[in-house]
Amino acid sequence: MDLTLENVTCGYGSRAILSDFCATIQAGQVFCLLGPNGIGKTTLFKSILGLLPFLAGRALCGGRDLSSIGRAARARIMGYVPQSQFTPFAFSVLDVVLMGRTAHMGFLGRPGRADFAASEAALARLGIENLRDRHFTELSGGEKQLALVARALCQEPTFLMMDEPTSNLDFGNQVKVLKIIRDLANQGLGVVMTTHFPDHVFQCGDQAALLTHANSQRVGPLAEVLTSENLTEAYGVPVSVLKWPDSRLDFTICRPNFA
Amino acid sequence: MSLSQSQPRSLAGRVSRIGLRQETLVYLALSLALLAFMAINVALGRNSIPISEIVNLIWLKINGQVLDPTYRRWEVVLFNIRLPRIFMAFLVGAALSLAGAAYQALFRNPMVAPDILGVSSGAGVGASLAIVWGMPTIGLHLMAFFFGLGAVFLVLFVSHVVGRGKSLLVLILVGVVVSALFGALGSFIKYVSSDDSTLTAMVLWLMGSFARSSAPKDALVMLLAFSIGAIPLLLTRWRINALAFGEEEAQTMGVDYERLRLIIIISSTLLTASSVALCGMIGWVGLIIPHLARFMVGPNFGRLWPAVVLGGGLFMLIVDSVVRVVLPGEMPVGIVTSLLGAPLFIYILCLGRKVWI
Repeated sequence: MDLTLENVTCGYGSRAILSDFCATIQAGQVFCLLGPNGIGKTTLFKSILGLLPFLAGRALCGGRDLSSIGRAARARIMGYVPQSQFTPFAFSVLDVVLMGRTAHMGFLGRPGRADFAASEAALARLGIENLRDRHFTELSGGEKQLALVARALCQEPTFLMMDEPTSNLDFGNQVKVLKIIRDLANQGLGVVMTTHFPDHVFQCGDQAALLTHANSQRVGPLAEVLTSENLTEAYGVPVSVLKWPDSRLDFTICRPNFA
Repeated sequence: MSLSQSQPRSLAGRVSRIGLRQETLVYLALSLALLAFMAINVALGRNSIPISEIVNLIWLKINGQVLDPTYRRWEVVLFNIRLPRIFMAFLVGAALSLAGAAYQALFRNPMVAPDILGVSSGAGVGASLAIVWGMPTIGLHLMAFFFGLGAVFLVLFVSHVVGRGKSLLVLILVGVVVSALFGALGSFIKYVSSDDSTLTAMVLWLMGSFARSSAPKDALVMLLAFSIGAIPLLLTRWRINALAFGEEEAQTMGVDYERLRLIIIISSTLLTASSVALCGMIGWVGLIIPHLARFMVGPNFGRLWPAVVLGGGLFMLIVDSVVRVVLPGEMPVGIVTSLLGAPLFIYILCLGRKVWI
């Protein structure tokens, strides 16, 4: 299934922040959204999630206009993994993951055996069964991130929307989360993620969209979008994208050019 | 991490040694304590009735048999005074606690009380006006109830105009403003009311009591209001959990946020307004019982609902038995809830900081 954005314009009220954005996001791929602060990544993200209306254009999923479907149906298409992880109440991790089943429960529903099974399965899929009975508020940042991924997986979505999934994590946890993102995409999920690190995109991405200051966007395969010139233009600092020409270790990195 | 694991935890979700889930044990314990205090409250008071005779009395009443004079006196005390008052105390305690728990979940803030949107100060103005105008009790109840509802609808309307109904922060701010406004109106009415007996009546009403409104029909009215307010919260109790991470995340999990918020506000307002209208202002219950309940069964609203209803009712029965039996005269319950509630709250804070902060 595809998620297609057709000439969408996003913003708050009448103020457009991002105009005429087009992209097609495929299930089984990792689609990365990059760009400097304030360029409209979060706004675009919220609009795709249906938290903000598109000011123009439309989003289609499997041919259906997303604006015409209800919240629960949308929640079964896309799961959201937020950046902030705050709740004042000490829910157990299982309870948090179970919240993801809300979209499958009906307005007056209560979780049944299938919902508990789906929650346990989501925890197992990420290898965090050991966190099941811990309090969410006591977890480390990385553990919280994984619990929220499990919550989103519980919605049984086609697409996973991840807002800066590596931003508050230490190096080890960043690697773990990137690996999980790659694995989930290989299992058929479409992942849309925002990030500030081109290297993370090189490590797990398939497609990228780079939003530059000129309100122009480049969308496409990594090799076309994340070039030295494009990144330099977008972030306003000189960078080099270097390819490692080795048959065993085929990777690309981005490093700044210090004067 | 080893540090966090050594912190006290709530008892939720654990299976105990005898094979029952921990929350089931909590419900059982609360129900037993509730029955015990009901029996104590039935038996004790100015006309004490032997507990052994109570079952007999209820049996005779059901069968409609002719009673001798001693039984007649007990019958009046039991069915017209004690039982209605017990049910009233239970229902009011349960209603205020449930409203508090629902608001704390909605506003994602464990410090929120049921009168956050101005229902108590609104009801206070209504009651004060009714007392000044010399209205009968039923008029006072209606005035307090509708002024309480009116204050909340004013808050909803103003926050809709100001913030297009979107922001919880605007809702709370407008609630504070409207509370202050009605608080000032209430003070103004007290200030201009010339005679002392009116003033005393108003001040006493504001302190809350079960003594003046525990006729059987009052208890029935409260039962009706409790059912209308509590059942929607029971039916949506699992969905309410998804609010824990805020409005936007709830929506991405498929929650119709606006509808759920309206259900919570209307239900909680009905619960609080009817309690305040019938029994005056009884503070603290709606704040501390949800805390206690979360400590016992965790924050999951699905498991919290029964614990809050049982715990709130139990606490209020305990307070009322203290008021009726231990203390001389009829001290307003509002005073005792605070006197008992404040130390209890600090104790709970010390027990389990980590669990719900």
